[in-house]
Amino acid sequence: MRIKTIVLSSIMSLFLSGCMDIEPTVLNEINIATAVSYDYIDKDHFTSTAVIPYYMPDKKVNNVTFTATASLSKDVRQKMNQQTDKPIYSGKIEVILYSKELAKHDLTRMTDTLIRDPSVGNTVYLAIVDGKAEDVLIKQLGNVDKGTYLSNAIEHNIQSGILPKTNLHLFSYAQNAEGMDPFLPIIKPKNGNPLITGVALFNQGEFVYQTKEHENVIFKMLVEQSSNKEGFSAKLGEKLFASVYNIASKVSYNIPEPMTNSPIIINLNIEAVLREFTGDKVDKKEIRKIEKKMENVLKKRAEKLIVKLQKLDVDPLGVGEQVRTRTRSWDKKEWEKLYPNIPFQVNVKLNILESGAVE
Amino acid sequence: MKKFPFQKSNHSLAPQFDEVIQQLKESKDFTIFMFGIEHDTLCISYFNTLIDTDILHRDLLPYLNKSSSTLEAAVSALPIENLLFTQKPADMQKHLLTGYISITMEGKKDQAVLVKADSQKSRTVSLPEVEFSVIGPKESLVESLDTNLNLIRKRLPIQELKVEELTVGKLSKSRVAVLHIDGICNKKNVSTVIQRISNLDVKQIIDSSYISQMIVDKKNTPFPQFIDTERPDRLAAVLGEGKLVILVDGAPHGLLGPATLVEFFTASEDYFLNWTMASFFRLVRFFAVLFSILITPIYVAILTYHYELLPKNLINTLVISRSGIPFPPILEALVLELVIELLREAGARLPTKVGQTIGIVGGIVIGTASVEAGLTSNVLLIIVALSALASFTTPVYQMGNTIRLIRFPFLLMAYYIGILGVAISFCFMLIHLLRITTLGRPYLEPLYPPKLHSLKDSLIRLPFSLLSKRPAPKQKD
Amino acid sequence: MINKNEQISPFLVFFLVLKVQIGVGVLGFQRLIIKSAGNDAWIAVIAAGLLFSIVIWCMFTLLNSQKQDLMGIHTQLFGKVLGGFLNMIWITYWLLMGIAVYRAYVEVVQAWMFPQINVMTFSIVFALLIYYTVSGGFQVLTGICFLGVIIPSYLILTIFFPLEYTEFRNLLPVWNHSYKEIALATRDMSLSYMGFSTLLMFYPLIKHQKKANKWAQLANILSILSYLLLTIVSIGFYSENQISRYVWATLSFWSIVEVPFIERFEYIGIATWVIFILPNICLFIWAATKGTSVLFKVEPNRISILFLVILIVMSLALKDRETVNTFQDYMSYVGFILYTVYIPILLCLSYIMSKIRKKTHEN
Repeated sequence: MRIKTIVLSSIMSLFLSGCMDIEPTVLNEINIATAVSYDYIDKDHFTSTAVIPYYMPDKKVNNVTFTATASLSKDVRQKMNQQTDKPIYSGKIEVILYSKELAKHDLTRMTDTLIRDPSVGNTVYLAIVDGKAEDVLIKQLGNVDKGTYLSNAIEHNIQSGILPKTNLHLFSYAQNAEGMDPFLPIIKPKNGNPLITGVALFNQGEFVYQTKEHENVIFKMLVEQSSNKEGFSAKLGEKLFASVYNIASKVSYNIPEPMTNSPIIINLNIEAVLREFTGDKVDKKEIRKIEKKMENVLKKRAEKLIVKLQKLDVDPLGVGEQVRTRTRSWDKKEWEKLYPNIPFQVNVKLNILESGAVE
Repeated sequence: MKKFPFQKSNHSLAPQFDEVIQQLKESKDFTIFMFGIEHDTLCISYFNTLIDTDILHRDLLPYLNKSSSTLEAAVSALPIENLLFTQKPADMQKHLLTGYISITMEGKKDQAVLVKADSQKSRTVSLPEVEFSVIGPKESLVESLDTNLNLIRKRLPIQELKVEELTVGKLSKSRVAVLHIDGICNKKNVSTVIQRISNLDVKQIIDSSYISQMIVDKKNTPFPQFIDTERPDRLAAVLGEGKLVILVDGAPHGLLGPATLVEFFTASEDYFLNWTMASFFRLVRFFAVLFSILITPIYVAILTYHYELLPKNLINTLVISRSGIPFPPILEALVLELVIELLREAGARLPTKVGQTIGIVGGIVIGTASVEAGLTSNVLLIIVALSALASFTTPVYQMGNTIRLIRFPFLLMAYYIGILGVAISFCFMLIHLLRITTLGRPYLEPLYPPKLHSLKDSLIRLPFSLLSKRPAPKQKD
Repeated sequence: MINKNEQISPFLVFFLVLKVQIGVGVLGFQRLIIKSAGNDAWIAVIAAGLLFSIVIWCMFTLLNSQKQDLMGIHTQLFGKVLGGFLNMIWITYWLLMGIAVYRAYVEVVQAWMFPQINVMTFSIVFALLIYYTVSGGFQVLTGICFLGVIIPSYLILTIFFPLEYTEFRNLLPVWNHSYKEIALATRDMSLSYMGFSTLLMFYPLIKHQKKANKWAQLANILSILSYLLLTIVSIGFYSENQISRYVWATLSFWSIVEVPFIERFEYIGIATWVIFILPNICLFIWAATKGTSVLFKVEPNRISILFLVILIVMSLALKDRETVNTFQDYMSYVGFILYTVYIPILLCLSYIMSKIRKKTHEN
C-alpha cells in the first residue's frame, strides 16, 4: 500500500506540473491598474482611461494612462491590452471615476460589472467627475501612483473632511435599499489637480444633483454619526462671526406616525469646540448665545436642504429606511408618493464644550 | 566455529580456555605472560590496549600469591572487589574484550578469574554545547555510559530508578541502558522499548541516534519521535514525568521518549525562567516555526497568483525589488532556499572558525552580490534568511532539520495552486502528524486528543504551582 | 469487538457534530433564507436549529436503546434484505453528500480564485488528501475534525470588520413576515445544519455513549449561535435586494477586511476553508465506506478508493453552476426527509418493536 501511495504521488507531481491549468499572474509581469475613468460618448459607447503605475528601480513611480473606447467595460480591457506591454489586471483598482455626463445616463450598468467581478474589492471608491473624467487621471502628482493619490484624497476627506462614508459596497447598498438613494463624492479637475467639491446625489442610478459648498457639512451631519475637523462657521450678527469644529454629531429620527403625512422630526445633537470668534470676550453667557444662534443657522440650513431633496425626489439620508424599520405597513410605491410632501422638522442642539486655550 | 570467534558459544561446541587464548593471540595487542612453577603456573592475559596498566602493576601483581596451588588461593589476597570466577570460556572471551584481565592456572583448565581493569579513557564532563543555556546546570553527557548513569543517578537518588541493560550490535557489542522510574513510567512502554531494542539485528550501534531511528513506531516520517538531548538535568526531569530514557555507551546523547510534538519545542531553559517569560519564549518559538514553514511558500503563492492580496504600499516595494529579475518567483525561492542549505551544510562540515567565515561570505557577500546582479530580489532574500533563522529557534536539533525539509513540498504546491496549495500541504502535514504515534501514544498530544491539564505545559508554561499534575498521566496497563 | 484505542471520548462528539454542521454552506447560506424571510431570517435560523436539536435527541434515543450503529439497527428491525436496501440508501446519501460538499467548494474556487482550474487534477489532489485521512482510521478523522474547528476559529475575528458598515436597524420591525415565509426559510436553513447523520455510524466508537448527547446538543447550540451571528451581521450589512445578488455573502464580507499586510481577505478565507471542509467530506466518505464494508464485508480501503474515484468522476460530471445547484437542491430535499421524517419513524418503529419483543418475552 505504501509503495502504491509513493508511486501514485510521484505520478501526481508529474501530472500536476502540466495540468493545473491556472494562469499565473506574476506580480511584475502584469500591469496593475489603480484607477479607471469612464467618459460618455453616446448612448452605447464610452471612453475609458486606466492608470497604470510603472515602478522605477530608483523608487520613482511613472503613471501611464491608456485610453480605449467601447461599449462594454470588458471590451475596453481587451482594447487596452492591445496597447500595453503586459496584460492589464483590475484586482487592485482603488478609484473608479465616472463623468457627470455618464452618470446622468444611469450608472447601474457600470456598477453591475464591478460587483460581478470578484477580483474587484468592495472597498473601491467610486467618484463622479464634474467635467471630463479623464482629466483627473492624466497629471502626475507627487511620487505616488494616481490611484493611491486619489484614494488617499477621498479617504482623508471622509475621516476629517466634508465627505460622508462612501465606497462601492455602500453605493450598492443604497442603490438596492428600498428607502434610500445613493450618493458619491464629486471631483472637479482644476488645472489637472483633483478638487473634491461635494457630493453627487443619485436617484437610484441616475445623477440628479450636486451639493453646494454650504450644504456639504450639514449633509454629512445628517447622513452619519460624524466627527469633522473642518467644522463650520456662521454669521451671527453684524460683523460677528463664529466658527466651531464638530467633534461629534449624532442624528436621530422621531417618527410618531410612520407611513402617513404627519411630520418627521430629526434631532441633531452636536458637540463642538469653538475655534474662531470675532467678538470681544467669551464667557458662559456668550457661549450660550453663540450656541443658540448657531443652532438656528444649522436648523435653517438643514431644513432647506431637506426641502431641496424632497423637491428633487431623492432620499440620500435614508428617511425611507427609517420609516420602513418603524412600520409593519411598509409599501415602497406608497412611500414614494408620500415622500415629497412630508413636512420635516429639524431640532438642532449644539453644545460647545471648549473655547480654545484663551478665555 | 573457529572462523566466527564473535558468535555466542554453543554449549556442545564450546571452545576451551586454551583455544580462546590462542585465537586472541592473533591480535598484536594481546599479552600473555606466565610465572610460577610447573603445574601451578599462573597465566595472566589481557589486551594491553584495553586495560589500565596501573591496576595491573599496582593492585594485581604485588598481591598475587605465586606459590599457591589453587586459583582461589592465588587471588585471595587481591585488594580488588568483584573478582569473577568463570567456567565458561566464552564468558572469558567476552570479558577480555571489554577490558578484563584473566588469570588462569596451567593445571586447572576449567576455571578462570577475571579482574576488571578497564582504563577509563573518556572525556571529562563538560559544558553542553548543542543545548547551551545561560542559566541552569552546566553538565553534559559524555561518551561513557557509566559516567552518564552516574550523572543521572546523582539527580534521582531513589531506588525506583531502574536501569535495564542490553547489548546490541554484532560487531560493536554496544551497551544500551533503558532507564525508567518504577511506578511512574508506563510498564508497557518499557517492555515495548526493551523488546524492540533486543530484536534489533544490526552490526554496529555507533550512536544513540541509530537506536532512535530503528525503534520508532513510524519510520517513514521526517518528524523525530525521540528527543535527543545532552543534558542530564533534562533526562532526570523527564524521568520524573514518566518517560523513559535510553542511553548508549559511546554516545554523548541520551534519548527520551515517548516524545510528542510540543516537547520538541520546549527547552530546559523554559523551566529556569519565570513562567511569563518562558511562556512568551515558547510562543515565539511556535510562531517562528510556523513562520519558517509558511512564509516562503506564501510569498511564492502571492507573487505568482494572488497580487490582489497585497496592500498598495507593499506592491510598490515588491515590484521594485523584483523588477529586472529574469526568473519566476518559484525558481528564485527554490534557488535561494537551496543556497541557504548549501551554506548550512558547508558551515557544518568545516571547523568552527572556517565555518564562521563561510557564514559571512555566504550571507553577506553572495547575498548582496546576487541582489545587485539582479538575480534575486532583496525582499525574498530577507524572507528566506528570516525563515532559516526561525528554523534554528527549535531547541531540539533534529526538529530544525525537519522544518527545513518540509518547506520544499509546501513551496512546490504553492507554485502549482497558489495559496490553496499551501493550505492543502498544511492539511497533509496535519494528517501526517495525526497519524504518527510515539510508542502507541498520539504524536500531537496534548493538542489532540486534547488533555486540558497537560496543556498547561505545552504551548505555554504556567507557574509551577499550577503544574502540580504531571503532564504525562499515569497509564494503567 | 471494538478496540478501546479506537474509541473517542464523548466530548469529541462536540467537534464531530460542529464540524459537519458548519461547512461549505457558511459561505453563502444567507441569500437563501433572506430571500424568503427577509429581516426575520434570524428567526428561521433559530427555528431550524431547534428542529435539529430534536432530531439529534431522536438519534440518541434510538442509538442508546439499540446500542449499535444504523447498519445494525436496520438489519435487526427489517431483516437482511430490506435492511440491506435501506442501508444502501443511507450509504448513497452519505457518498453523494460528500460529493456535494466537495463540488460546492470547487465552485467557490472556480468563481473567486481560479476560473480556469483543472477540476480533474485538483480533484485528484484532494482525493489523495481524503484517502490519507480516511485510511488513518477514526482517530485521525476525529483529530482532523478537532483541528478543523480549532485552526480556522480565528476567522470569527473577521466578523468585527464589517461591523463598521452594519446597520442593525435593518432587523426591525421584528416579525413582519408570514408564518409561511418563515417556515420556508426554516426549511432552507435546515440544509446548513444537516450532516451530523454520520453520528449514526460512529456511535459505537464513542466511550460512555450516554454522555455524548449533551455534547452533540452543545455543538448544535454553538452552530446556531454562529449562524445567528452571521445572519444578523449580514442583515445589517447588506440591503435586502443587495444580498439576493450575492451568491457567497460571507466571502463578500471578507473583501472589506483590510489589515496592514493583507487586503482582500476572502482569498485567505477560501484557502482556510480547505481545512474547514476536509473533515466534513472525510466524515461522509468514511461513513459510506464503513457502511459498505460492513454490508459487503470488503476491506474498507478498497471501498474508499472506489468512492474517491466516484467523487472525481462526479465532480467532473457536474459541470456548470446550474447542475451543481440542482444537484444540491435535490440532495438537501432528500436529506430533509431523511432527517425529519425517516429518523422519527425509525425511532417509533424501534420503540414499538422493543415493546412487542418484551411482551412476547413475558408471554
